[in-house]
Amino acid sequence: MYPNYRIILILLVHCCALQYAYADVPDSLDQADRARYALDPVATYERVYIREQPIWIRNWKDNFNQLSLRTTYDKGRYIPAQGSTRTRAYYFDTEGKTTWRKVQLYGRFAYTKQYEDSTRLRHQTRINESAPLYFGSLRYNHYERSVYQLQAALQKDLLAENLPLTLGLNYRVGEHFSNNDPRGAINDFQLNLLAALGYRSPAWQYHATFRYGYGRERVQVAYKNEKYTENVEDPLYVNWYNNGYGNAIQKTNAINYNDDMKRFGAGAHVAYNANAANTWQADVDWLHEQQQFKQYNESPLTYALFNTYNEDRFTTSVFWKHHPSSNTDFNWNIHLEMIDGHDDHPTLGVSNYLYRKESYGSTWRLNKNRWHYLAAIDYHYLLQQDGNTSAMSEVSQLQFQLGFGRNWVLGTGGQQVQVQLRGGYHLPLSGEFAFNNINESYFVNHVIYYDYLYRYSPATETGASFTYLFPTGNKGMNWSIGLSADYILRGTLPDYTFQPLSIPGKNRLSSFLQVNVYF
Amino acid sequence: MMKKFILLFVTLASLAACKKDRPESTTVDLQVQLSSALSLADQQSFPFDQVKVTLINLRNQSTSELTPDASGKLTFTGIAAGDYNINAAVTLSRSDYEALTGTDPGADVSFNASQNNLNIPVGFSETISLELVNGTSGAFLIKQVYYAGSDTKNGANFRDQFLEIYNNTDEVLYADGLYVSRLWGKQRPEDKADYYQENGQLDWSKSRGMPSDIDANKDYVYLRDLFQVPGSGNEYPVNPGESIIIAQNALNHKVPFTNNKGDEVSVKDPDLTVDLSDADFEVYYGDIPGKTPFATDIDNPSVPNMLPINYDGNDWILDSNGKDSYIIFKAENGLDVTTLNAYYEPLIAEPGPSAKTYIQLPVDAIMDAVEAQPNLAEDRIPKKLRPDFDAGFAFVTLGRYSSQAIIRKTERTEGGRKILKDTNNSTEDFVVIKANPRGFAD
Repeated sequence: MYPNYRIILILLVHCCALQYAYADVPDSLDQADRARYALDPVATYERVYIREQPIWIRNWKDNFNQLSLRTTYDKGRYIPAQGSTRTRAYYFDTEGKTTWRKVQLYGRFAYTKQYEDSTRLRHQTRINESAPLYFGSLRYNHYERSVYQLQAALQKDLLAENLPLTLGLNYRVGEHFSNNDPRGAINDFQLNLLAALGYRSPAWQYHATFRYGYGRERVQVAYKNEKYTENVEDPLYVNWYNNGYGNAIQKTNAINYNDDMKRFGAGAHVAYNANAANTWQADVDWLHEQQQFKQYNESPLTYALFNTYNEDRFTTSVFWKHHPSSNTDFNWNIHLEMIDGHDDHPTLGVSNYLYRKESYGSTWRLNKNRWHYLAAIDYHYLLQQDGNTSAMSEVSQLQFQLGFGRNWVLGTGGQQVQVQLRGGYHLPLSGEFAFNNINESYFVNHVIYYDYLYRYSPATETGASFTYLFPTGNKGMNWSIGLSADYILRGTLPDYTFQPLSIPGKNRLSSFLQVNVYF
Repeated sequence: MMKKFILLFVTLASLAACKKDRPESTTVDLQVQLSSALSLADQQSFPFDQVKVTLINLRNQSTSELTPDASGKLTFTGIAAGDYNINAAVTLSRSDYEALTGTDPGADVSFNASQNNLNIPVGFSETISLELVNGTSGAFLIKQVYYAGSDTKNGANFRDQFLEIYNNTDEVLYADGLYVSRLWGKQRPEDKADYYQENGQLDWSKSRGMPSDIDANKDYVYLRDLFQVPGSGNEYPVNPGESIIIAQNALNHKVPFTNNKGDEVSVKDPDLTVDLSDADFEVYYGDIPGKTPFATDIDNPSVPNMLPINYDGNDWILDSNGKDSYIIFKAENGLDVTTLNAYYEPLIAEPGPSAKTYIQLPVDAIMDAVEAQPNLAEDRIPKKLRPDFDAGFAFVTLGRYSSQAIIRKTERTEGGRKILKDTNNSTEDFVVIKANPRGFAD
């Protein structure tokens, strides 16, 4: 429970800032504008994007704040091998932006309580899935997670309307534990800092960003029933130590490690306001992260180094925002993300593990009158390879999504209803899998055979959302109640020649209910 | 403008798209060549294509089994670098053996070969040579070893340990003078105080005073303790298909007893332990000069005591984790245990005043042997026995104090007499049961 004092501090700071923004600064949005801005899918996407790229903080309309309470429920066995068959989660999320003495201020606090019932094959935080080293067992665990997140950013022009300096902070603390054997306890924190300097000309805007961060995941696995520490007779309870891809060994004592992370990176960002109707924006970022997996002991070095994993992440986005008329908004986005991870084997001294993930895609969003439309196409590629066992999985997939929705104004009181419908299809393009079963353990079988089938299967998805928004007289507040459900159905499994001990399920339902307040 | 932005995007994306090379595969094609020292009749060749060769990955316990070609060659393709055990085993029928050699062996004959803790590094290209040898077919066999003991709170702890020795022949044998011993060697994976062989076991050739003209590692074993069945030669007959029990304490461990300090000791759960009140022999330290036995070391006057020749500790406590190897032998062919030499283990540092010496026994004397090992792979230690005595190892799956014993499988029954499996490979010959004195595996 060590992060509690930090969490209280975070809450106090954030609540004070939000209260200040709400109480003392004159509104620049009236109630109707706020309602439109809240429900606009294009604007919603842009606000989410600003969380990652606070240099565009000016694009968030002043004094638009939101507070969200949300509960989600996901169920079904169409999940990755290390996913959760059923997840209940509760979210409290509040964020807002204001301008104070010509300083753009953004703040966000989020708390998540998540119950996974149940998950297996990896004790993890779920934010570091590409890492090669972890513990896991065949036994399903009930996992509980508490995650607190604080984000803050400010932007100030060092010269009159020019040389904008942006500073950003993103801090997260998490606690994760399972309460049945083999039980895991994970504590994590991540601190990420951003500094950026920009330049503006009448039509152009440039920013150069620098990122630095560090964090830790502290993982411990133990048995309440001591008999499981002294035998491996029941395969369900055997703890496995995975280091690589398809490279796991049994480990039933001294089951702990720290994953110490350091990261740094840089980015270049350009925006071009061609005219009032057209804005272009491009972002390119690179982030390098090093993770050192250590088990602390009494040696002169104070720890045994299990692995050093390096990862480079490249992200690129281009936006075109087109606003031809007062009732039409168009947003076109091209995005690219590549993650390259690798490590060397700690004792064999050879290249041990390779992880490469690529995502390319394009999304079109159109708001016209009260209708809004969405079309998206994404290409996903994932390669995982182990140098020691030569296990290799390489899968590519295209994902299509189409959606549309409409807003209805109810009466003259500002009440609105929004309905959205969407559908999509996952089309596997190529799949290659190689694993010599001479190196196979049953733990590995459950993970890599399963995941290959999961990634190389087609799937169809459908979803619908309903939102009811209503204003209240108190300082122009708007409230909304939203309900959403998505269903994904797996198609036929690909042909395979190996003998998996488990295969992905057929479907998955994801849903949420949320209440938002916009003020 | 749009063209400029697309161009910018493509340029930046191409900068990011530099792919790293894939890792070179570091798997190894492990080549194995089998041979046999068997003297064959003319025109005969050893049936290598009947041999079963098993490769065990010590890191993840995965196993792979192959059969060589007629020349004894085989290749395990694409194995990960790491540590392995490799075993080869075949049993020739009595008639096949006779056809091969022109000699009637009187029974089926098993051949074994093994290499253990074999480190296969990246780039390994050597050929592993395995020589199949037929082990001894002893008259007496070690049938059951109950080293694990029972629960420390609800059972009898280590007090109820026993060893069962079986007459696997169709003749009456006499237990008189039979020696029972545990072997000494590297007892913990992390031990670093001694000189070691490539296989990880103690390098006895570096022991102080060890003659240089003998193969101290291959031709001898070293005794942790040594006890002998009493008797003048025909006092303790063992009928075909029957056995003798050597108990740590020949008591009914299911009921309370009074220890040698006068305190009553009871067992909370009698089902966890065994009744050894009808054991044939027991080990008692109370008569050994200078030894103070544990309070639980009770002498049952109706059960003969084993003769202590060499011993340690305060009672005959078998390693409950399974780190002992067990042998039985008789003083035959001129063997006199009183004249055997004893040596310090091959310590790097000078032996201290309390350092113990270990009797050096020629392996030819061994009648039967069993290698036990801890149940957890990470706790296992290098084997102490050559593959012609035990090509594998056995262990209780639930670990120490689990009430489990290792027991030899029953191969067949002839005229009501059970003949136990004896291929000199305890991995194949033994299974795990709840300890059951004079019981059988099936």
